[in-house]
Amino acid sequence: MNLLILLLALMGGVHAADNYTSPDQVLARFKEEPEVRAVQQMALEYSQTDPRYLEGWMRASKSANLLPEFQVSYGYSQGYDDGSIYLTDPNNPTGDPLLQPDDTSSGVDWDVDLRAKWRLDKLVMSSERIRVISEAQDVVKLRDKILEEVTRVYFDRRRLQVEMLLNPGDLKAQLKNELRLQELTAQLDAYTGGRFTAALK
Amino acid sequence: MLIFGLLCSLSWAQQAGPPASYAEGWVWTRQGPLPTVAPLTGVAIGEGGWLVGDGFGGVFLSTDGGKSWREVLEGKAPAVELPELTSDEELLEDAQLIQSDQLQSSSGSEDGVDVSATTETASSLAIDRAGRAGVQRAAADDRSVPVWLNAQEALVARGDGIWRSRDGGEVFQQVSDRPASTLIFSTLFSGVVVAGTSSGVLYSFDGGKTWDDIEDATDGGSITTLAQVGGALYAGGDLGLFRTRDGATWEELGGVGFSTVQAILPDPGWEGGFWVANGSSLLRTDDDGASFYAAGRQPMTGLRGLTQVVGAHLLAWGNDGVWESGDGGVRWFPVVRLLTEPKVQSLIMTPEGPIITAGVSLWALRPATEKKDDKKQVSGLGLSESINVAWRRQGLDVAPLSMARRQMAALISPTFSVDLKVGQSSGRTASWFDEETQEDGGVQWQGAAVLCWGGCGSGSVDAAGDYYDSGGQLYDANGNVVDIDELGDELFVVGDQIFDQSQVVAAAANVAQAVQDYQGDLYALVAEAWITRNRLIAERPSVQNLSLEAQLGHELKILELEARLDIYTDGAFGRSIVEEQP
Repeated sequence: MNLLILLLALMGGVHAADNYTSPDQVLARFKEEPEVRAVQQMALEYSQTDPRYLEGWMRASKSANLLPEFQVSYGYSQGYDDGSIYLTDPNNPTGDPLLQPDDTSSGVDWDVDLRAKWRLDKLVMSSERIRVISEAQDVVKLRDKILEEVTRVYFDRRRLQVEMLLNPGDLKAQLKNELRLQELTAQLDAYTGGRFTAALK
Repeated sequence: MLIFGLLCSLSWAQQAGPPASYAEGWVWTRQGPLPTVAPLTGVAIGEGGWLVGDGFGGVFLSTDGGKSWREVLEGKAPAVELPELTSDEELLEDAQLIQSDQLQSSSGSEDGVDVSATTETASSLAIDRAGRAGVQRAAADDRSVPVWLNAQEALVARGDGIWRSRDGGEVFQQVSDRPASTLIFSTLFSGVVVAGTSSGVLYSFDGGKTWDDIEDATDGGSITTLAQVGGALYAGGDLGLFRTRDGATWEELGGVGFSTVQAILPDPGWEGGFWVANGSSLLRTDDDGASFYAAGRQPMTGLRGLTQVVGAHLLAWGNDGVWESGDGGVRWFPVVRLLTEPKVQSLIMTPEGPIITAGVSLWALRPATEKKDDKKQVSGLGLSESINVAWRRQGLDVAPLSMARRQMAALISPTFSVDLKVGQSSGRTASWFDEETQEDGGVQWQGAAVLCWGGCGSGSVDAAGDYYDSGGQLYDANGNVVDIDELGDELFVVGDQIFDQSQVVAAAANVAQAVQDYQGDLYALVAEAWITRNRLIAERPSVQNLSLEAQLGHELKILELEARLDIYTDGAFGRSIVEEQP
């Protein structure tokens, strides 16, 4: 499109200034291009700073503490015990006691412990919620900054397009303007992840 | 105490009520009329009614909300002798001379009384004067400033001293002959009333019945304003700014320039923060008066007073009308729609909006009522609405940080736990002697539900003080680098600060403060874009005579400003334009 305008201008100024009588007519020349709000939306999607994301965060931070803290433990024990006693044998000339087995026991124990804990105070206010609000605020600032820049570049580009249309100038000026136009287009692409140029085609 | 302060700060930050901006949609409406031709110098509104003082020293009372007035304290201005007038022509000529004379005298001195009466008023003055009552001209120190102490008791500071009423402002008696200009009922020192006079401050310990002078640093200087900031009382005047913490010993604070201090406004959102207006600038301190800096970049000259609407929304008034700031005094915008008297002597906030004394009238700032058949000249959201939308976007809403109630609710909320345990045991015991074997075993179930208040045995492991942040890197007490992700549940990071779980309120306060700061920036950004866009739209007819390039430049600027307003309103501004289109 840009090259086409350039070529047309080089071929004799088909769209010379005197062909237009009102700003609306001039601006209508660019109606095929995405509007600024569409470009802003592209930047939002690419930067993932759309307010919808924040809504999701806020909802998640509210409901996160509805889920309890689960704890499951399993215990297993096995035991074996031999008991013995000493008995005095009157027939033993040495008088030493005899060790005799007394009893034997063995056992197996296991248990499963399931524990669920709700922090009701965290449903009211939690550090997670504050962190999310803080992060959300940073996202808003970032979004405002990105969109300010996108809007500025978009209208710088549009002004340049109008200038190229109404006052093509000589070949040197046309080349300079064309390079500047490509630079601004590239900047918009950088903010929109290439969606801007894709929308131009 | 810290938590209480933070809670107060947060609840202050989240008050609702007044609009985000008075600049759009609000207009000044003249109230009255009052039975005086002198400029009004002070107004007090209380349960006892409305009291208004004028430049002759007179005081007027209204008990029906300003509809009717009667003089309750006569002015004390000297009479002026005049030649005998015989014809209407001479009367009119004399009236014009008086008016010219009064205007000159008012513009000659900043503190002079502005008698900007209309020609008709001046004519009636002259007729009244020639008609045998005599005209009185105000002296600069005759201004009277009333204050209510309660529903029955009122005081008036004026050029001949202090006057007191104990019957709802009906009858005043003189209680001091020291010329006074300002009064404050201090809650710091057991309800002492303090008066700013032509020579320092006076104290009354009995509700204004008797007045005592204590030798202090304010003696010899004229005190024009008094304010209570935190645990101290401040007095400003021609000698500068003074502070007392004990009510008796005053210390002079430097750094406020050489112009007479006209107003002091405490910042409830910042301990030790307040604004000071002198005749040439607006200053701000964040450290309880230890140092001052210019509050903004605009030259704010001729200010007489300051007040806070809510949060960072401030009003200032003086010789150039009323100004408002939405960002704590950094940027100011005029609030003067339909205000024909530029010199504002005093301002008082009411639930319905501000009321000022300007010229010979009271003026109330009220929302403009739009005629139903009038079409809006400029499409799109209004300024106030745009700012409100910008402030309430997702991520900038500080309502969830309203800690005052939440903290209480969190404190009394228990930890609820359910414990289910199942187990089986089996055992065998054999006895050699008895020659028998016993076996036992079985399944056991156990369940418990526990409500627990307090620590619940979890125990605090870490404290935020064990860590420090340096150069964007987190270190523990031993100087080892710590990974933020490994801090565990007891510590959390908000912004660039580390908190432990006991500091949730402090973290919330920090976040709320940051949001407020950004809202202040948004106020300026939106207001600037909105005002510029509307100005450019209003200029369209004149631009149509210019070249096509100039017209295009104009239109592109408007489109860019609308796109910027869309950024801050999440597209609501653009949608409102589309909706308004036929």
